[in-house]
Amino acid sequence: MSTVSELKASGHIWSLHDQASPGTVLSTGFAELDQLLAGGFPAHTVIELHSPIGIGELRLLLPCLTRSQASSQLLVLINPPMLIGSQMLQAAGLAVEQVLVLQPASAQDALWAAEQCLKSGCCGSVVLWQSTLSIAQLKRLQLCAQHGMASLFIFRGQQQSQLLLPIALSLQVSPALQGVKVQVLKRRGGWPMAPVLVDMTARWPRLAVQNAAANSALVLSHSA
Amino acid sequence: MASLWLYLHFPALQLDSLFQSPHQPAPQKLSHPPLAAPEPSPPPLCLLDAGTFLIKQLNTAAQQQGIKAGMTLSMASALCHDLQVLPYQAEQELQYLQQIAALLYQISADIALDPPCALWLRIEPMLALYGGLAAYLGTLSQHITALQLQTRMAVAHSAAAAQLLCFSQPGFVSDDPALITAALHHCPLHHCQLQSTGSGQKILQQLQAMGINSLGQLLAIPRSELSRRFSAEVIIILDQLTGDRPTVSQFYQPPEQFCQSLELLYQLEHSQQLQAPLGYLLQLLQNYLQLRDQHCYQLQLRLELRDHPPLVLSLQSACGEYQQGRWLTLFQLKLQQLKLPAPLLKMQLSAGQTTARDGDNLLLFGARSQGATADAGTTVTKAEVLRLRSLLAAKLGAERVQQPQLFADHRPELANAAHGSDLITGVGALAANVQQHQSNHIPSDLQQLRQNRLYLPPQLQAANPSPPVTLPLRPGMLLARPVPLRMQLQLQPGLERIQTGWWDQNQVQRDYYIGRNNQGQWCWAFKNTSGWYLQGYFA
Repeated sequence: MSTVSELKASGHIWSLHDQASPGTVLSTGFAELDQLLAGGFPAHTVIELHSPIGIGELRLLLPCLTRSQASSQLLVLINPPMLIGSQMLQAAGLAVEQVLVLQPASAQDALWAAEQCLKSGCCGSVVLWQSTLSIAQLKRLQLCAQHGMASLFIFRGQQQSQLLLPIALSLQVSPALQGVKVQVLKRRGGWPMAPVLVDMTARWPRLAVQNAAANSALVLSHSA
Repeated sequence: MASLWLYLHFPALQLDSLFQSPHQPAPQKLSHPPLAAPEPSPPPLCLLDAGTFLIKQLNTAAQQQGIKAGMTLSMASALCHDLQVLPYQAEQELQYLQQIAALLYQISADIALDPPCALWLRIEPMLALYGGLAAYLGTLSQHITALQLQTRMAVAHSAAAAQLLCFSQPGFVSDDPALITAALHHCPLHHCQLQSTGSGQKILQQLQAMGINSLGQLLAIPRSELSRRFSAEVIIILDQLTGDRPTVSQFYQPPEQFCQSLELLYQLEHSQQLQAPLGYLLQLLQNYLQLRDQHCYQLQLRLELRDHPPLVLSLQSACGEYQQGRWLTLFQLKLQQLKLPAPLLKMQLSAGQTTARDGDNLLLFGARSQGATADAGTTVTKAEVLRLRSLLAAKLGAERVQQPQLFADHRPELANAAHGSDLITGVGALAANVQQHQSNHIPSDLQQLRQNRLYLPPQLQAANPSPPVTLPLRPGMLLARPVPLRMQLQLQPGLERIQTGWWDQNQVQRDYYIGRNNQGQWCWAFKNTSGWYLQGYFA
């Protein structure tokens, strides 16, 4: 019994009725995902997403980012792997003049910039592309996010076989024909659930394969 | 009302300023034992005139040892074996005098410099404002005691008379004409301006030989007699003393631009050490701006290094700042990256453009109260956003803080180009002063296209969470330039042809397809006459 209470005190295990009611959540804009995450992304904290680039991972966040940019708050994109398309931002309903794209020289600078943006209180959400993150860095970012009431989304590439961080929400995003498949790796106050398919057909009909067999025009590169 | 002048003399201006300015730990610098006594009295210290090798200024500790101004160095060092000697620098003293004038300009309108270490203040116009000499002097002495300088002053009816009184009877303060005249009449002549010139000294000797030692005796002699016996010099000086001839030709005018430099007594080698002296300069800037109710957007710090060309750091703040602390934070970020190639000798801070401050509309109860959700009507002040941008630009470099832009062009490379955010244009306050070099790295055709910038009011965009139907589907991530396609794509039905740019050198004719590759990435690829290219990903 004492071992259990020790473990409880150290936060390694928890029981369901101890868990305080989940804090505010931000709706993801996708019904399936909201259901999976019990309402949406937890607000004012750090959320990590393990995802390959270009499968629709940014589109997964767009509804949430658009909403958090309301009341003239900034959206800051730090260290994106490529040029961010302004036309896409505009089409998603984001105010382009309230978006900042930072390209820091080092990972250290990127983390510093993320902290500053989160702390400042004028950013609704910050998106950071960074593969490595230590526990200490994460804690700092979490405190900043809490202080500035902002959300940080970290894109971390494919999941490496490393210790899971004490993070509020960790998602694995993988490609699917109609959108993306989302699996919860870790959710504070949650338990493992089957991955869900987030259907993006309604929002982006052209970015979904309706009928895999019907149109199979293959293109080969010239050099091949 | 008869004119009234106050002469303010700082007998040891440079010496006092060494101890006074917050950045110069002078006792430590002079190898004074730091743990000698709980209240260490300063060591005997004097300033030596490098030209004449005579003692120019000295502190009280040195005075107690029997040293006097005007002694030779050998005599002074014989009197006191541990005397510290520093070179006298007239320019530095003059600069400090100007600082004092700038400070006193707030309480007195007419100030004239008497280099190297004295000021004239014409006070009779100010008396009506302050309500009498006593009240005026009270305000004045408040400011002067704050400076912690040795000060002597005197009041008289003319500038020259005030000067004479200050030297002969320091501390004589009265606006009673009879008292002033009596005091003046007792002034010994050798304090007079005549002392300073060679011919004047000869005249003084002549006067002394005649038994005339005080000014009263000289004034008693009729002018016609004097002009017959002596050169015009005596008449001029007498006229100046009586106020018939002006002594002061030019009054102090505060500088239009802020520019202050600081000579360091010791050479700094690490950029972290710069903070304290920089803080002092920024404090001066804050005083300057605060008095004018202004703020500035851009500062330049010029660092003069030993045997090395000077380094110039320029710093921008998007929202305009005047507070020392805010500028210091920005500078700290900049200085962290700075490596001094050679020891630092001198630093100069100048403020390029200052503008009137319109009240910061800060929220009273913090920007966002705890518990309020993002869409509960909380607002973010513009100043906060600009401040964040200045902070990021200072640390990361302005070119790394980019602002996505929309341009009215169908070519994706041009329509989506982001560029380094120009902090100052972002404000729109100094549009005329936009740095042109910022736009140099943008292709020239793009610059032309800037005029065609798309304008969509932000309210319209914010109010439409669902994508408007008219906007075409565009990828979230674009490659810097299209690369040849080297993968298999499963194409989606439909294509989009972009054929444009026939009017400039960048003509394109492309058929755009959306395709999905084996990894599940959604690609935006196009085909033109030379083959297939990858443009971006629908991330």
